[in-house]
Amino acid sequence: MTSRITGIVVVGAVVAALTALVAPHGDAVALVLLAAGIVVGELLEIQSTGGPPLPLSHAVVLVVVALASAPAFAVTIVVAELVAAVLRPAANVRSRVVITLQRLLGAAVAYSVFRIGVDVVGSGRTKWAVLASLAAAGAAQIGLDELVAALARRGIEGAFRAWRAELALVTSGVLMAVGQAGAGGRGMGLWGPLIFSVPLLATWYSFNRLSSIRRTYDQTIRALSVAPELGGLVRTGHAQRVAKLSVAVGRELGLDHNELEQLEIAALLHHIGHLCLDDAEVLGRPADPWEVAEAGAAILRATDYLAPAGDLLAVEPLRHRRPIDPAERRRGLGGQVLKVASAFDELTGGDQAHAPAAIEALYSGPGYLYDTEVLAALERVLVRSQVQPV
Amino acid sequence: MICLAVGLAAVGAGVFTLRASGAPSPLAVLLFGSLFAFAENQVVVSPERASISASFMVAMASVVVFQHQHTLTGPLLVGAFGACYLPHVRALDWRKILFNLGNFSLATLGAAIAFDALARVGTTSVPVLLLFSLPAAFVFSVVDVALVTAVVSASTDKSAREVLSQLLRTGMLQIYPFAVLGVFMGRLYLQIGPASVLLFIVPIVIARHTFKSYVDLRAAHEATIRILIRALEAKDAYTAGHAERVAKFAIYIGTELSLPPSRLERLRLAALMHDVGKLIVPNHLLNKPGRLTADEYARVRRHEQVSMEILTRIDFLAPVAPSASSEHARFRPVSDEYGQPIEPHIVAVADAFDAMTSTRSYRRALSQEVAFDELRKNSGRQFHPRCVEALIAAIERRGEHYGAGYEAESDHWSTPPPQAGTGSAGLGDLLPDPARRLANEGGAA
Repeated sequence: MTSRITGIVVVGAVVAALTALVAPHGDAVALVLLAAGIVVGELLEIQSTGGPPLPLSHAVVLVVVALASAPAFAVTIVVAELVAAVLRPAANVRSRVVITLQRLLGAAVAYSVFRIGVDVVGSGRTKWAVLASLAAAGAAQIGLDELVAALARRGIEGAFRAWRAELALVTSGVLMAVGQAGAGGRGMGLWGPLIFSVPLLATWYSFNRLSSIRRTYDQTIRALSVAPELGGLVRTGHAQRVAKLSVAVGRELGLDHNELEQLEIAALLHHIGHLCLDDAEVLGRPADPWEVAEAGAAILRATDYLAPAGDLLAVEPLRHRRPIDPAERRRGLGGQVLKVASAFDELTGGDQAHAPAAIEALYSGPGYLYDTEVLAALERVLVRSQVQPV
Repeated sequence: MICLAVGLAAVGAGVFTLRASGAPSPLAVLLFGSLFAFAENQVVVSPERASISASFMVAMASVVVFQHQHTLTGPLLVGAFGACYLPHVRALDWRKILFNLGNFSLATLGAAIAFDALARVGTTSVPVLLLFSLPAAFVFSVVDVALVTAVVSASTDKSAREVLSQLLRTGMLQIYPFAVLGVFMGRLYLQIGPASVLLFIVPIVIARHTFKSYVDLRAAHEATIRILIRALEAKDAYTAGHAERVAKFAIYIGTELSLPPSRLERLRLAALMHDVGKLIVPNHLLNKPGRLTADEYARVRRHEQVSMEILTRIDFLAPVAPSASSEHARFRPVSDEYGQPIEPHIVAVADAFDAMTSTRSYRRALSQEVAFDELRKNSGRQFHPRCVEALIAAIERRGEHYGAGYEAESDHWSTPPPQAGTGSAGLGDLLPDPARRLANEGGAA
């Protein structure tokens, strides 16, 4: 940590010298401090679920955009990003280079957007021209990050899921920039970004707490999901395989993001009730699956967050092949998916070679009726996974 | 009565300032007033006085804005919006509405007067502004604290002194950073108008929303763990509440050793979950009357490994995973001094203490003195000495008593003590029983 701080200080001096050379009459000191701000902002990222990590430096870049001339801007950003590249704790050099290029590109885009907005579209630095152009510049940076993330994912599904964090980042960036340079009037100088970074830091803190507790919760559920197999109640990896398969089949059937999340939780914990039954016994003397499901549902329903997953566990088995009310069917769909996936994994034991026989057995449904639409979706998923082995 | 007086005083002050200093712009009053009311209604985390910081910020912003317009009525009116606290309004609780109206308008007016007096002498450059915001904020909090103290001590049987010290303890100082923030918000409003408020409010509202989600999710996580623990304790009637008590004692020790909050949080979860592996032990083994076969004993004993395995899979708890294992949590005078986290030792001591002071199927609870003696006797051999002393100090300072009264009867020891001395501390309540049965069998294997 101290080496990082020393690094920032050293680089600050270098940036100071360079900016003084490039813009002898500009706010050299301000630019140095802002460059240091960018470096710090690069090291603090907002971790939001479902979105790309958002560096706080985006906000500081907006301040520099509003303040500096093009050459001074370029020098400040390049130096700051190079330092950040050295200090950034990234896994490998290649990703560091990619991130740095992405940031430089983002800053260039932001600067161009701002200048176009102020000089071409708006007529000079009037209040609204500055505010709108700054907002557009901030949005451009975020847009670039989302684009890169979408390219990495090979799909636009789930883009802007972290819109709250992105909105907060852009608005506080504009706030800091306006605080520094003013809009249609004199600003407060460096005091502006300094004081107005407080909302940004509050946002950063909240998002990171949220994502860390989310990770812990997720890991807790995954850790508990192995308890039944450690206790010898199910085959090794049963819960994980069922969860994966359930999510794939559920996605095939068009369940939305939240439903899939709850389905995964339900699948991971679908044997947890087994552990609380009186006659829990080892493999070979199976407990009544309905009792297991109800005991598990009782546990999950005790917390609001997991209650939907508990409801999925408690979905009644199909008793007759007769048409059901579509709305009711839709509500129980996740539960039927889970029952199919669990039965399938019990039949195959995780070995895909047994899949055809297992599907056959599920269709004939000895003692229990499986939803044929879910079975068809399962078949499609299996076929696809064979075509594209992972 | 005081409420009425406070409300009337505010109205009187309003009339007076209106005559003395002229009318404020209605737009600004409405904007900052509704922000103030909004902030008042946004109590998220602690019900105590958490709201004051957000609304206080708005009040300070309005002080700066209206000072520029040379009116004292503006801040007073903005403060009056503080009466719109929805629970009070819905219940038509006139006393509280009137008091809030008076309290907030007078406090904001006080801040405005102080700020105005200072602004007459100095410029409004940024460092000067920073400097001026502090006395103004001070006046605000003094008026607020004085009025709240008066009304609370009058309407409850607490003395004014008690109320005051409680108010001061709940962080009157923490609001000053918000004063600075509010002053700058007001300053920005003067520059770019209402747009500044939007820029300011959006990230703050998002941050609060996210923080609330975090608090909710944390509670849900905790509730999930608790419900599992309860399900697990239901398997063995003698262990009801054991995990909660171990968590409590662990926190006693951790606080005594002044661990930072994040480590206390980790310690608490680890203590709650230290027996989670018991989920895999079939009920008939837990409650089996008579002796366990060596095979059954091995299965029962495996729960520790399972607990550790589960804790290891959770990154947050992985560093303290040995808390779940009596073997790993054993104190070793030579090797344990450096590098190893102390949490497992804390859980071991807390676990042993609760096991000794609770009634088990094979014996009644021991008295607290006997339990302390046992802990001390094995301190430095089996238990970490600092943890032992910390627990004893914490319990004695609180004047709490656990275990069976004070009748330190030696006949408790006619059956060998399951915990201390047999090397099975940390197994807590589950293992002593089968362990003892095995021991009686002469280590049948």
